[in-house]
Amino acid sequence: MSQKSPLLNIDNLKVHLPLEEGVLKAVDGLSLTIEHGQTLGLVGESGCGKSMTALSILRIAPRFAQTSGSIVLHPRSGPPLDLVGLDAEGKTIRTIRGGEIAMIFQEPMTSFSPLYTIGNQVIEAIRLHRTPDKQAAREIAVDMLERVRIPGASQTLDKYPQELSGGMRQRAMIAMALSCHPSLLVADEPTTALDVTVQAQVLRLMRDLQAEFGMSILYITHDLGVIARMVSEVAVMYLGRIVEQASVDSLFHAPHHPYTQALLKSVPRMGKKSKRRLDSIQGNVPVPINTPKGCGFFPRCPVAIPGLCDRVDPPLVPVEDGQRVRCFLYPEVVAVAEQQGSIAHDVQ
Amino acid sequence: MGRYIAKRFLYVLFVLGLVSLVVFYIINLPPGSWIENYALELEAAGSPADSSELTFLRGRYGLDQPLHIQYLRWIGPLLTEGDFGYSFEWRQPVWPLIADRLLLTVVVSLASLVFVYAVAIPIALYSATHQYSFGDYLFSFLGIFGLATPSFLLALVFMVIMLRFFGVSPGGLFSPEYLNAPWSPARVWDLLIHLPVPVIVVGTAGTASVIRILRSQLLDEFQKQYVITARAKGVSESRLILKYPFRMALNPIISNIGTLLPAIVSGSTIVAIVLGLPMTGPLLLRSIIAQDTYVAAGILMMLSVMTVLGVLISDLLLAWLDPRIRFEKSN
Repeated sequence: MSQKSPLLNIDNLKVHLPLEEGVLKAVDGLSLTIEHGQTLGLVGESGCGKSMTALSILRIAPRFAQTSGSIVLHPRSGPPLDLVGLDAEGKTIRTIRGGEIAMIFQEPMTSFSPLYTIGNQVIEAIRLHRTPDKQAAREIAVDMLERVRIPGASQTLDKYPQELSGGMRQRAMIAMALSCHPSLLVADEPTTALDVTVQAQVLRLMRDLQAEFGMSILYITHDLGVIARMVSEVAVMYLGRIVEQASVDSLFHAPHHPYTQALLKSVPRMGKKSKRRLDSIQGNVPVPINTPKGCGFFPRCPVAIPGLCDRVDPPLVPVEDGQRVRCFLYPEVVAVAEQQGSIAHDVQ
Repeated sequence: MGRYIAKRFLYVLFVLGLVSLVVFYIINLPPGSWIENYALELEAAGSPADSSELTFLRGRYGLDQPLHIQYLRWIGPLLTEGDFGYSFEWRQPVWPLIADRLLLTVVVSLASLVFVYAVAIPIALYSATHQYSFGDYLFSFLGIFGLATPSFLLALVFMVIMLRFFGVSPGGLFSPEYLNAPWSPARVWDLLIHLPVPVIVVGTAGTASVIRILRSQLLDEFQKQYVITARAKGVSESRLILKYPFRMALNPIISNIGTLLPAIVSGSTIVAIVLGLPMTGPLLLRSIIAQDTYVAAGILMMLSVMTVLGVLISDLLLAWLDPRIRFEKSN
């Protein structure tokens, strides 16, 4: 179903948060393309800038954040549009939010306001983007709730969020996000707060709905198990940038970047020698304030090349069929860095 | 919901019963009484110490009986006939003495309440949406300034301003010619002209504190996930703020109404004395000093009624506005 035409082009996106301690580079030169109908996974530890990327696509990052680069959306109708250039409170971006690009969040418990019914909040979105008519909007809302398999859809609309379980609330959230037929759904850890059985149901539901609506999904998670089930293409994020991008098969079977390799080793697997301690990555994700030169993963990397990795930032380079990686272990990466002039020949 | 309201009304009655006991007990705690002092005064002046008037009063209110009999003689007529007793000092029944003052106290308090919210809510909304801007700092400064300014000083300043620039007689709630006139449209108008000064003076401190509470509440709510969700739906910023965080931030403000009312009543006593306002504060102070038992008890009872009703009203408002509370009550 993938037609291989880009829906969203993110190029060199930087989101910098000026704080008292210094500038926090939440996203630092991220480039990514989402095709029509594609499900792209964005993986990484907490604090690597996944959520900030998601918020920036909708231009709802904190107001004091400094965003640069470009996020070009190819909407269903009309010419391509650079979202970074838009007024964050303007009319154009508001028709895109919820209309072209919808988002679901991690916390189903707090994603709805407890003061209004589910219906009030779902219908609000429908009336903003699809029809101003109250009755028609309500019918659409009932239909959407039925599609996400909420029993008693019509009665549920008149309930308050706190009367529903977490799984039901996340279903209502998905119904609200999909009610306006977005071409891109940004899902920021949508199942992390749910227990495993509910998580499986919600994941299946999202896959079914994607097939039905033909939308693209940017699936953000730190859970590699979910990635394996949900997505076709994965981008691994570390310190505000992508360190490796590959199809889900290549990534799981032949991870190239030391960070990806370490990440995969730290996932428990059934049937493996269970007496062994689970591997973990040394140290924590550094807070990206005043980051030193060189590869961001250098301080934690087991195979770092001293004199190179701590001095030069590797570029993101295709190394194998469709697999891009940002690491000097691969001659292709070194070659590109040489071409760019960021390292001299003699360093190797 | 109906059951909840009925239950709350029963509580109100129970609380007021307890309040009446405590009030009466405390008023009678200081040694001596107005009657005894008066008898001593008469004796010192060489008149017979036991005039027929004093005898009648002693008998009527059981003043030579134990305290619980005195209480029953006071509360009985109050409940059955609405008779608040007799003022020894003013030589007249208590109710006509306090009725007008109570009315004016309620008028000034409610006007102050409206003033507080009318000024504080827009400022708090501005400050919260423009955090750390020049305007935010300016309002914060003015707010702290307002909190720190003693209200009697503000009252004196306003009296000077009103007389110098507007020619309105300083002090009081009426011009001299309407002071004892019966109610008429002209008298109401006269009251309205005199109202701004006491309302601003009484309301300033309250305004400052409401701005601070509401601003920090709003800033808290702005961070909440449901606000981000609403923004991600494409709701416009102004509509979003009023519908989501503002509605949520109103809760502590509404639950404050009940407590703000008595605070205004007691806080305005000094202002009322300075401005010469015919409110309950100065009369209460004087009746307590003079041990004019039934005036003090009557005023305290009425203020308690207002407070308890204020709390009840703010609770019902909260339940009406917040489905979470409503949900809890109906279970």
